[in-house]
Amino acid sequence: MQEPNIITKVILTQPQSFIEANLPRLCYLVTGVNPIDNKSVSVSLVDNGGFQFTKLSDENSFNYSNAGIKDKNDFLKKLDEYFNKTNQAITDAFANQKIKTQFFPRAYMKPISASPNYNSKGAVKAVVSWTAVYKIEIPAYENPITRRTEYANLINGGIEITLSAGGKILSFKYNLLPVSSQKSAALYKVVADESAVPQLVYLLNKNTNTVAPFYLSATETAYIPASRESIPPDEEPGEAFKNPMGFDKDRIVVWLMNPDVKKRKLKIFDFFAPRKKDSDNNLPAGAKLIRLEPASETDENTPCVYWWEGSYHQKDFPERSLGKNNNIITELSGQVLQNDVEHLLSRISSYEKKQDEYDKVIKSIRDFSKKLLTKEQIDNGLIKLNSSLQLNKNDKPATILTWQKVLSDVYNPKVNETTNFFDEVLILPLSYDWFMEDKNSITPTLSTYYEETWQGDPLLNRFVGDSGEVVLDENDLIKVKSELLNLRSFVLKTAAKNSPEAAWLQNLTKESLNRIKLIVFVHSATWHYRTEKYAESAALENSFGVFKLSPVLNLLIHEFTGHSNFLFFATGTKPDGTPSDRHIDVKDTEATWNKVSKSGLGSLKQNEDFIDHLYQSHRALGSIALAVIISKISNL
Amino acid sequence: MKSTFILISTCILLYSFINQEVAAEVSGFTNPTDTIVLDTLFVNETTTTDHFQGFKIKRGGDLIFRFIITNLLNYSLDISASSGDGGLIIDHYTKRILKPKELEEIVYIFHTKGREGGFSKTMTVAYKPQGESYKNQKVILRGVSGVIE
Repeated sequence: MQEPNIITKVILTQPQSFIEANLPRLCYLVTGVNPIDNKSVSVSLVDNGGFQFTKLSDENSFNYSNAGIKDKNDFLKKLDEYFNKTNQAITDAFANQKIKTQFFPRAYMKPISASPNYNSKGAVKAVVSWTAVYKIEIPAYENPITRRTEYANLINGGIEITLSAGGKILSFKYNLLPVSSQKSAALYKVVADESAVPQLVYLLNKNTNTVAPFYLSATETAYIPASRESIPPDEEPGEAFKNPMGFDKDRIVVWLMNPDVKKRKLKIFDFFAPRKKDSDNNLPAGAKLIRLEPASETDENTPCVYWWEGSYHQKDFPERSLGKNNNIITELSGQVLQNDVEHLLSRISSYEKKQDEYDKVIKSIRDFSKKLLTKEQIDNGLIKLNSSLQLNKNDKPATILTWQKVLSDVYNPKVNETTNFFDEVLILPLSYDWFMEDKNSITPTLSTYYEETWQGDPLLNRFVGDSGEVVLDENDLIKVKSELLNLRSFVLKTAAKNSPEAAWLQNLTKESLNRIKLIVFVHSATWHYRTEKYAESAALENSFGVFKLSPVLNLLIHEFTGHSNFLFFATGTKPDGTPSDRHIDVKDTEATWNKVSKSGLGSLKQNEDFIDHLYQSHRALGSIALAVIISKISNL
Repeated sequence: MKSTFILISTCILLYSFINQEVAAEVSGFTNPTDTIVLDTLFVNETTTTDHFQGFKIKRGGDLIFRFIITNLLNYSLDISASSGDGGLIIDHYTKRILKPKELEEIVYIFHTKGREGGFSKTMTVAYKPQGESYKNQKVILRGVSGVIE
């Protein structure tokens, strides 16, 4: 049936159950490593579809290529050969199941980056590995105006592969479902072929101007979001307009959508009508605004403050044009990103020239602020960021390993001549959910152990809550380390013995724990955060244009700064002007918001800490988040 | 209000001089405004850690930890208070700069809502001579632990 308000494209995929049922075999065919009872690797399913493989140690590496990688072209050439060979191997291995899947859909795979990784220690900068990220780009339709083929990208993932300099597979992320065939090239057509379930469709959401994947339900007329970015197009609200008054923590930082979009019935939306690039205020869609209190519930406009072209402004915007999501991609997204980056730069100047390592962070942001990314680079950047740094709840250890690496690459202050901050940090990838997995089984071994050993002990009971916490005290550290070593042995007697967490525990040693001076716990609720603005008193709204890290990663950046080695470990001001640390409580934002709503931005007297409250983001922590994002998207 | 505060502070200061080792051990906190007054913290060019154990708290409310910090040095200090979080955050203190012999009250608040079982939280007070780099910072950790029942 025709759906004129959205562009759809049917792509048949293998279901995740195919990967799930054949995970060890697929892993062996793709990486050459047998993952069964292999503690040197971590293999897990990806939430949105696909799986990932991470090498935890250097033993038994699959040497894909005996010859070393010479340069980028050589790397891509080797990967091309590898995809060919592996596709053939998978087709042969599953010949009896008559699967048409091209595991690596080479016709749709486009490399968006291929770059070397260097060792982070020592004076000599040596290439230790190479990483390539491929996006999945599908020709969607021919644009009747430009006569060009428009493409849809899978924006929540792709394929990331890292080879050691010698050609060994170090990590592999297949962050999608295997594409089996392209059903039709017709525009505006949804083909409900229920012989292959689930089907993946890409919908263009006109409210946010994003293309994102959805699964087609086999049983009802519905789209099932297949990624965090998959936001179904809104229906026209039937209720009378009411502009919300009062403070709402989830509607302080908002993003400008095309002001006319939501007023129009989606069903008669003409996609090919000339699009209005700018709003009435010459601000492009996607610009970040601070929504203040409207004059009344009946007022269709809402006053907002925002930073644009080097200074703050205050203007009224139609309430309907204020969105709660930064996933708004337009031709002007590069400009929006650049503005957010320049805004942050202007706010972190007081930290400059105080620490060499942080000055490098500022330099990377300053250099990046001079670049204006194209829409394609923004698209590719999202894919790369999502492929590389997405939280995989099924493999928290691999996710944490990746995050700690990227954080230490961008900002790793020196503790002394031989030690850097992250040498002494241990982030626990363990979670309350993991301990509780066998709670309802006949023999709840691990959960019982947790309740008896961890929950009752003041020094260990740190997994329950809505944020995270750090352990710094020497005696507390001794206790936690000792218990981790006990758990390392105990977990092998439980049903969780083959979990990524168990594999991670096996790699802990007394020696490796000796150097640890800061242990980070992530609370149970935090792992499930998606769009939360706060984790208790940690502000998480560190977005830049369409880019934003996982809330958990933002929380970790907050937790690290609880250590006094950090330049900005205790810098902040409460709304009443008294000192604070890096915490921003929702009450701080409310007090500052009330002040600005009543008396305008001038009432903050250019105090950057108050601006932090308003933007729900500590600027220094935001700068680390931005440096991480830049490290992933600057070389596209 | 201010005179009451000075009186309490002076009493605590005198008490702490007499017996610094005694930690407050209190149980049965039920009200959201309950306050635990900890020993005075004397800054004397040291990096120390002290613990206050054995608190038994009823689940739900907010608990306030309060103590006085005194600069026993003969130069001004730049002080920063922070927390390891997990529900414990700074409620208030007013001065970043503490002159010699000057006192300052530091107040933390612990939100126990949604938490149960044992707890161990750390309050961090960092100090350095006024005007010097954070690299010359010294740190005092104050631990509070107990059970939320």
